[in-house]
Amino acid sequence: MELTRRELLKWLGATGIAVTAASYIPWLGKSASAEQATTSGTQTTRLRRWSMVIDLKRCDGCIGLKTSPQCTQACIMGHQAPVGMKWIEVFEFKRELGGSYFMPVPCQHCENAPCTNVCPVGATFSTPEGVVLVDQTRCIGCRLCMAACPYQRRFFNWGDPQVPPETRSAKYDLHRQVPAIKGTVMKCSFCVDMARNGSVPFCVAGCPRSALWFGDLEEDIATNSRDIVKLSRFMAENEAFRFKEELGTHPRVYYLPGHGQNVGRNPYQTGLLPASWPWGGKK
Amino acid sequence: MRTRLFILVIVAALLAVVGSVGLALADDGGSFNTKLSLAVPSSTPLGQSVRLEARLQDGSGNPIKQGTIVFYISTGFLSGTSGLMPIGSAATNDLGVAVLEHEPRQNGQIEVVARFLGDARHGPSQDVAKISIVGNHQLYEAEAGIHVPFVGKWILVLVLGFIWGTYLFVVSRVLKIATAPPEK
Amino acid sequence: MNEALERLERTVLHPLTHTTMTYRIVVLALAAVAGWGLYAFSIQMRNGLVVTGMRDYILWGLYISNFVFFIGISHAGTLISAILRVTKAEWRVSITRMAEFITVVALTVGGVFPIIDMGRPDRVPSILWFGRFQSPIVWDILAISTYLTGSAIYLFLPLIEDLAICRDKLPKTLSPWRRLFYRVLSVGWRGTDSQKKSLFTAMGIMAILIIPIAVSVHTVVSFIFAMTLRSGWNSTVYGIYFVAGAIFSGIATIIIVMAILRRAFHLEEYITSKQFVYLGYMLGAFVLIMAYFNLLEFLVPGYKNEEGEGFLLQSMLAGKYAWMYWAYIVAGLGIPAFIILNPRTRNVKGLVIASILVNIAMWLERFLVVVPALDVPLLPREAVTYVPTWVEWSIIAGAFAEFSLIIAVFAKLFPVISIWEVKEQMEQKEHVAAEAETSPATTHGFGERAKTSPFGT
Repeated sequence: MELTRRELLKWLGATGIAVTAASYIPWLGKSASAEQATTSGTQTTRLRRWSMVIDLKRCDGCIGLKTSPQCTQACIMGHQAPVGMKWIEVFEFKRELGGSYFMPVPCQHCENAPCTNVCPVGATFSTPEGVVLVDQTRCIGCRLCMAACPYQRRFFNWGDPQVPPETRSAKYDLHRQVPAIKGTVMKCSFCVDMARNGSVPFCVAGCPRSALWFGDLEEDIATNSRDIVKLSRFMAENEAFRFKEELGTHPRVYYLPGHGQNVGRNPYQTGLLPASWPWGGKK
Repeated sequence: MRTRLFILVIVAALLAVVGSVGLALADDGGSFNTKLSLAVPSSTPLGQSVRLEARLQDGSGNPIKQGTIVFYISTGFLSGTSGLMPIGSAATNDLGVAVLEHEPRQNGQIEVVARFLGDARHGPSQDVAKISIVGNHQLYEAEAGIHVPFVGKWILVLVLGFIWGTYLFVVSRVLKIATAPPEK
Repeated sequence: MNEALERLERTVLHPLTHTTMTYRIVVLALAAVAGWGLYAFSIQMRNGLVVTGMRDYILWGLYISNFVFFIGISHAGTLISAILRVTKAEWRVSITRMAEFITVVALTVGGVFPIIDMGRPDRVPSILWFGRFQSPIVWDILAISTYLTGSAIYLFLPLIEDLAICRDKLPKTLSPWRRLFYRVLSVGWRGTDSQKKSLFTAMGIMAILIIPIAVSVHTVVSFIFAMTLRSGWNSTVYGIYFVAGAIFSGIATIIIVMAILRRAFHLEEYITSKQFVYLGYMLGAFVLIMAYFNLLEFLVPGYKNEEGEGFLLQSMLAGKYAWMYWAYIVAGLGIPAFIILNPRTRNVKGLVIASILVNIAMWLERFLVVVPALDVPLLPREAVTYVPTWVEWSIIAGAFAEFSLIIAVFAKLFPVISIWEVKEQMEQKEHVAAEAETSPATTHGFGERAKTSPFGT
């Protein structure tokens, strides 16, 4: 095609106008919902960097107690979670040559979180404290975050969530994820609101084996609500690893290898019991 | 008479036993009791490691070798848990000195506790010292992503702008058709 | 010759003024199916996605695979039309219009699927307020809206002259709104030199610009999968693989639509077996390209057999999804290749059959992209199976009906063949023939392109 100089100038002009216009579209170039990334103040201005350590030497999936995994149960009860959602769930990992170990898996609260990267509206985001949260009043329900999560730790309200009736009329709380909203994604929040106010998460408090530790990487300290340890030393001395570490997601949840030997489980004992929702059923 | 003599002998014997035990005890007293003294800097900037020096001596001031000293920080955390958080241990050297390098992560005044738990020949002892940690900056920073200079969202804005600008230009051609003067 | 030109206008414009009973019945039937789909969607709106077969593990299903499928067939049009226009392939002139229709309609229908798939379709506008550049979904929205706008412009530009013909040649008995419609849309076209120059500049720019945009669109569609860490999706070949698959199913769709409209509107004189066979060759080329990508897609991860990849390959090649996969290979690649290679079956009928097979196979292939990868367990969880429900099937049926319906309506409003381009070609052929008579030394093939080309001489 032949373009005269005048036409070329017009073309350039049009392009210039469009570039300028594009850069003014409010959401172009905006980063992950920074406005939500607020944290309540602790005593100092230093932020906590929440973290969890799960000691598999002490986890027998609660089969020795003949109950459903109490971390899951405490989470369900504490969060009044919709039926079917186990934000922390105990999986039995089988060894190829026999035997198994139990592994409670909450949201891994990745520092390089694949889920927050892909969210089109910034409904899921990492707080400066390193906790990945979901704002159910903003989530559009596209489920790309669920597809992106390599740990399958995100749950969707496919229909009307089955929750205790009294929570339905509650004022929405981002941290508690109450009330549950149809068509949105929910997940473990590390109970960050409770941690800020000085208590450990429901699952840590609920673990009868004291296998779950909640800590702060900033102060390098962790507790299982009984003892206090220096987090980095505790992990170094116990060969801590992270789940699917090779993916580079940098989870904030660490595991200490084991099969429940410290609470008297041999690697061949099985029999996880289903969790139950008093407002729904068992699963 | 015989009875009185017997009692005397017994008392003498008892005295001898007690005396010798007492002597023995008096002789041992210097080595069984221990004394631990913890030396720390009074203040250090946050993020720097400090040298915790614990000197272990027996009652007579002689250094005790090969004694294990455990160091703690007295602290509290969530759910009201508080107490001593072990931060490491070290063995005393020939001079009776155990050293632990520790990087305190809390700011403000912290209380360090050094403990010698004792062994067969030495009794336990402990000492407490305070360090004030100065500073209020984050120590743990999460980092994600690769940083390449000049690569950013502006490239996408530019490409989109170019395309939509070209659309605008094409639409202007259509408007030109619509407003073209009639042919003579 | 004049008689041939008149016949062209008469034939192509005839459907715009005459409606047969069959057409009415077809439109009614399509509208009924589309309405049923809408009803199914209303049920889904009321109860949530719980009415589908999707659950937390297999969290996408028919909706997303149909999104990929429809965006795929949208490549039929504009991309092929633009490539043929830029390379000045003459035989394109009678089929580009249909191809461009398909693009615009398929994009409109396909673009709705992600919204249907959303848990909160009511919150779609919040993408405008809160949209993040880092999200592949936002890339999709940007790419598809840009492509749709571009294709609409690209469809419109060559239509201007034909709309002017409609304005001038259609009988006065036409309803006033139709007359206004053609008068406004033909933007005062009188065929003056300055108008022609403006039009050719615009068309030349759009034909080139639309090619990279079309390629980028399907690349970006693949990114909603490729940007995750899942086995099968975590792949660098996905972008180009999706583009190739899109063009493949796109060509097949053009052949099918071409055959239907040719039959319905009696266009045999303009759409000859030549157009079918040439498109058949392109289809054949893409059979090979797809086979190549399938080889890459499986050989490279399969050789290393990483845990998840191995699970996926096992389920695809010899497990749960094997029947679908081999149906895709046999019906989508094998049989069409045979039909195209065999001169006895390389005719309109054979190619239409091949195209239908290709589209069914590509539909299965899109399903195989989405579902088996989600079926790979990331944790030692219980096995699950995705079974689409009647709601999902109804919405899919509704979408296909809507696609056909819009094409049918378009075919009543606009000439399905670019009259002016065919006319110019006929005139040139006559011109060349006349020149050849007077000076036999003139070589064929050079002069005939020059004047009509939007790229000038």
